[in-house]
Amino acid sequence: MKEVTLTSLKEAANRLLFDMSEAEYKTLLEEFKTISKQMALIAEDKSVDNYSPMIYPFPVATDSLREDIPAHPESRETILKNAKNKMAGQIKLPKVVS
Amino acid sequence: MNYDVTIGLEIHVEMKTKSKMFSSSPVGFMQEPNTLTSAYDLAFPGTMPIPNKQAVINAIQVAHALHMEIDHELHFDRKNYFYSDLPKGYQITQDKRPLGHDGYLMIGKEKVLIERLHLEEDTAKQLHFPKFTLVDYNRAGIPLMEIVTKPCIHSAEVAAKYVETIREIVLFLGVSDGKMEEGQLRCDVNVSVKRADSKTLGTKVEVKNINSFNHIKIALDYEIARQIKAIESGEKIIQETRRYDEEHKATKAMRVKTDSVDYKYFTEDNLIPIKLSDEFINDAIKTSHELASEKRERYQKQFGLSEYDTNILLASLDIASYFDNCAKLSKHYKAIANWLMVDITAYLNKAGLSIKELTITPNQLVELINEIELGHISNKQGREVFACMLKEHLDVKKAKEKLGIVNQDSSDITIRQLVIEVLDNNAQSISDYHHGKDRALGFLIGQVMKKSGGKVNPALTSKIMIEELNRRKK
Repeated sequence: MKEVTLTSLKEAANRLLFDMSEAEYKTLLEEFKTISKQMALIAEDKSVDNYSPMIYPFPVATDSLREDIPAHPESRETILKNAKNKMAGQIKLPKVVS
Repeated sequence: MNYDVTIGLEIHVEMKTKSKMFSSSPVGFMQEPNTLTSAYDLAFPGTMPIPNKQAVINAIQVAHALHMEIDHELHFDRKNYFYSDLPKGYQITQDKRPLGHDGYLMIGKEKVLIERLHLEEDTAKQLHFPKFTLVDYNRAGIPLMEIVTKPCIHSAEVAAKYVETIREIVLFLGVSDGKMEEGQLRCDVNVSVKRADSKTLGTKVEVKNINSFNHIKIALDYEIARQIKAIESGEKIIQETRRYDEEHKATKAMRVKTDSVDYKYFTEDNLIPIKLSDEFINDAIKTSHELASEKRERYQKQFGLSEYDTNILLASLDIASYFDNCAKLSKHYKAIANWLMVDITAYLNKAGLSIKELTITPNQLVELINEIELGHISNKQGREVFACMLKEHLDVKKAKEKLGIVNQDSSDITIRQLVIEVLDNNAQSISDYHHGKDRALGFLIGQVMKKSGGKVNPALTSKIMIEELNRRKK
């Protein structure tokens, strides 16, 4: 497993478009070190390979699906409210393909 | 040198549900930008996905039509990538457990193996300009199904026919309008070529942006020829993504694929697994509309239509539906088919209308056909009545009244009497007919029509006239 370092945490944060203080990065790094140790401990027990990864702590399922009934959409004004640049009712971005 | 071609296809079908895949925003095409969206579609914090039941039913129906195994649990995953058409930063899809797997579709005698069919959500539509990009989120979240074949197709013809058949299936099931030109059905093609004697598969090249059925075969033919030419000249085929350039009828390089993109798939933990009962799946299958292939068989076996007629009727779902409605009312199947294929199609084409805009109802068309089949009016008069019905918005009876058309006389005794009278007064024409002058027959029939004031059945008149002429043959 790739080692988690201050640099890799900062890179990951950067890719997710946020940043933190140095103290927060250090706290997070310590937490990752603890998690990594726990993972390493679990990995020592080879019998875990026989188990499928679980997403939830216990088996859970539903049979509920949403009926195909449309609701009123938000108004265009609301939708575009936070857009910095807009044009012809659309969100205007710097060119995203070359 | 012989070459082996291997083709795999990925088709995205945009469904025509009323609401989106995971939100209740309405689905619509060609609407004002950003008028069909909600906080969920724009990934506002706190919003949660709730899967659309109809989209699941649609996918089950298509999976069944493709002879697939259907998973009894829905599992969704996140496909992570960062791009402006995807506000959440990930697309909800089914990576590990697709709804359908291991199916097939027969294309002629070729069996196209289908690896998977999975549900996912569409992305926003982007319009790219030289210096900026505009984003419309109306499309973001529209239900999509992706159908992926195994790399088992070996010709452009079969690949193109396969895509056409998938379109026919989704169209006739009512799942999608399948218009490639409008992006409702999108096709990506993977193609590789190798020397026939080589045991190693060729390098896979992906071709994107094929936006019409005609272009599939052209793009593939071009790409296959390009790769063969490259192999023969010792050039290395690069693993890349190419796009189809409509103007030059060629594929053009877009980007080199150094590695497959790592989308870091993981389970969508906002959606717990959804169990699909046997009852739910069976109901979805039972309520499926009739497939084009099933209609094709029915039209030929039950109605005695030719393959040619059947294919013309099935080229449009709306025409096929109109035909079905008429066929429930009358057994003159061939006549109904003929009217639809000839007179009605000609009228619609000329007027620039669709059959849904035709003012003549199936009931009225069947009534008109019955009038002709019963010999009340001739085919020619039938066409006049048809034109009058369209122009004046009248029913058959009123159109006949307006045109002054009365029912033809189809009595054998009356017509034979008139024929005998005409023949008795036209000895020269009888002689001409017996000497091979066919025009004489037309003249004699015309005389009968004149004598009757146009009221006798022309087909029956012709038949009786020939009988009487043959009787007078020396």
